[in-house]
Amino acid sequence: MSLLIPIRSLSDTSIDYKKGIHRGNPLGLPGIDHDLKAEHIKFGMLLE
Amino acid sequence: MVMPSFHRALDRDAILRALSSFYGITTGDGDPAGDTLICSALIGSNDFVSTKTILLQSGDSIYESKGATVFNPLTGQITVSPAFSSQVIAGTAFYVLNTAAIAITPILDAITMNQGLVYYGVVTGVPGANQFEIASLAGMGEAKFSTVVPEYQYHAFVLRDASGPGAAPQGESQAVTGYGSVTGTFTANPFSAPVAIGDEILIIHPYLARIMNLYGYPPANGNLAANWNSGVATSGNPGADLVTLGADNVKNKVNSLLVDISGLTVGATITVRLFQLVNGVEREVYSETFVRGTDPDGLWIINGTVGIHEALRVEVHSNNAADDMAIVGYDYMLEAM
Repeated sequence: MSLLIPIRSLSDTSIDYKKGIHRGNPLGLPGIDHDLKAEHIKFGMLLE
Repeated sequence: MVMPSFHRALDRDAILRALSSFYGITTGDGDPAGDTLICSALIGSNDFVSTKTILLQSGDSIYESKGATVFNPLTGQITVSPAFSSQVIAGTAFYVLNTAAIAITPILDAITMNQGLVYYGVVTGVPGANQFEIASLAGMGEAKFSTVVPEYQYHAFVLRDASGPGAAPQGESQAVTGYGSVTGTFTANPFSAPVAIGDEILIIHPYLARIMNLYGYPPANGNLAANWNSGVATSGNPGADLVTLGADNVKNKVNSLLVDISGLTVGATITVRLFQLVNGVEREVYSETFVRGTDPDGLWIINGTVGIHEALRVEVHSNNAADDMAIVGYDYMLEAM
């Protein structure tokens, strides 16, 4: 048995983070935000 | 040494006297319906005939036996019920057997109906809506089957519909809510078609009915127009009640619940809430928001089996004022436990 929880996804045009079960983006993180790419996300990197 | 025997056989006449009261030949034609026979030799006799069995020894109905119900000593006429298969004409040989035919009826009643687990009867009248009368089940005690407590309700099962093979409501079962002992009048929840005279009914013990109901209630569906935006639902939340599944203190399985929001405005945020008693106090047990046009139009709110023993109420709210009096549909399956 399960109760329905809405499925949500993030958009590159909105800052909304809606309640629900979130599904991934087939384009990966750059599909949500072009700046979210591997060379920008590195271990030890300090964001200021 | 040979022991003397004190047993002695009854002679033939003694056996016949023990088995039968009278042997005679009819002297006049009985009723064409076969329910009377006339023997002038019985004129002036005492009534040793009524309640005994009449066995024919000749004629078209030879070897048939029927119970005598009335004896007329003025004419020598014997009335039997039910009737012989043909008219008993003059010259027919018959016995009056020393077996009480009428006594068979209560024995048959005990075997076939008054057992408590199931009562069988044929509908003899329809005195009102959702009512049917079974004369053979009268006199069992006023209000014997009258209860509104679902756990203890007998169920009326339509074994056979008199109007045709398998016609509604044959095969349907509904809870019995009332019983009038004087006439044998049952009141039951509505069938899909009214019970009619001649229908055969089984009145089934509640525990047996519960097992029978494991087969499941018919699927339920419907729709409702309400003030989904401006209204106030039973819980006090904005919106309106859509439907209530089950009942308090009744065990059920909810196998499926779907809500159809296709009639609401595209882009509206729809909130679906479920409420149920928890330890006697109503609580919100589910609350999720959906967007019309983004989420599926058919929301499978409950997917799979969950047991409930209290009423489960569904409330819906839309944040769009245009959705007042729009149509919201529902579809669910319940299964008794």
